[in-house]
Amino acid sequence: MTAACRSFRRELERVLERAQPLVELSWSEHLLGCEACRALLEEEEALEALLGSLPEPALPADLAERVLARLRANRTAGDPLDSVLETVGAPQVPGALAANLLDALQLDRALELLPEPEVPPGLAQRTLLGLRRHRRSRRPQLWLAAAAAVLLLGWAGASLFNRDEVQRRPSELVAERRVEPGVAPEDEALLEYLDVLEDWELLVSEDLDVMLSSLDPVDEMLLDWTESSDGPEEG
Amino acid sequence: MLAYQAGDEGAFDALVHRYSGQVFGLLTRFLGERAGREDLVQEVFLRVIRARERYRAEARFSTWLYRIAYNLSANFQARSGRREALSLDYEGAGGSMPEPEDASAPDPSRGLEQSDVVHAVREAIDALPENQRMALVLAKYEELPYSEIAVVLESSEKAIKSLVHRARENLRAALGAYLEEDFA
Repeated sequence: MTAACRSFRRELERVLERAQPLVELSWSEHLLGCEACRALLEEEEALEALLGSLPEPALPADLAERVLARLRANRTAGDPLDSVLETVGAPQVPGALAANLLDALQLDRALELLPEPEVPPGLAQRTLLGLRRHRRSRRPQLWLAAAAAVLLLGWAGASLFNRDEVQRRPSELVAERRVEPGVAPEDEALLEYLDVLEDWELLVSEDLDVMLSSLDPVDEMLLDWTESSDGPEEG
Repeated sequence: MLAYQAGDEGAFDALVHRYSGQVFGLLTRFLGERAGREDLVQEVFLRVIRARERYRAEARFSTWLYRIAYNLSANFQARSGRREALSLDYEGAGGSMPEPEDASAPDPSRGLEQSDVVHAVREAIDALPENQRMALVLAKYEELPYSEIAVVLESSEKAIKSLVHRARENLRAALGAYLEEDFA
């Protein structure tokens, strides 16, 4: 953009600001050699034409008289809000408000006079040292707890899988059942299979219930802990 | 206004006769052709009555009036929503004024093409942010200088120049298809 372009655009702004007709600018010599400014002027002229296409707002007949009539009616009737506001009485001030405020202020001032508590030197370092010792002393306990949890899980698993009914597969149990008269062999097999499944599920549930009821709260916590974490945290 | 302030009751009637049409026109340009404009005109002059004692002639009376109209119409718009045509409901004095049919509504006899253009321009103006819209309306249709628009919008002259510039840019973008046709 040249200095001539800038000058032309300033002039364009000025004409638009004063709502003057843009046609005066079309005689500018700059436009003969500047396509960009010519396009800008054409666009502004087109926009002006579009904005000018809006019709003048049509005024309602007797607008001023109607407005005046309404204002007079309002003045005669009075504002309904005023009558409502007048019904509200003056606010009640509590009896000893000022005295109470002064007392509170005096108390605040007295509290401000109290000296700041003295902090013993080296308190933070001693606290940190104590915390480190406490954490070190707890590490063997954690390892013992983890070992106890592993042993407990082993025992629970062994007691579950040592039972005969559980060790045998459902298909083996089906084969031992005798066939009822009047029932097709394939239906009998299916019924037996379902019975075994039911028994097996009940058995497992009972065993689990027995085992879980015998656990101490600490053991339960350790079981939860071994399931939810990969292992004890290191220092 | 100064005469009215000094106690001349008839001066107020003269103010209403002289300026109610201008205020109505401004509201129509700003809000579009919607119900409630007459009630807003009444509200503007009600504010004039209330401000009788404290009015100071620091700017032209019409500028002060436009400022009241702008604040009221912006509040009105915020309350009623852009697309709802609500009428203010005044209790105790007969309700809202019935408004006559608006002769500025698109006339079928003007032709479909012209009606489309007018509709598109109206929509493009309506879509402008309210401060840009009011700045454009005051500059383009009311032919107010930027210094007075700054008083109406409680802003600086430089900010108004920027607002009008951005409003025109937005309109150019919205009306691009129409600008390519030969309306100039």
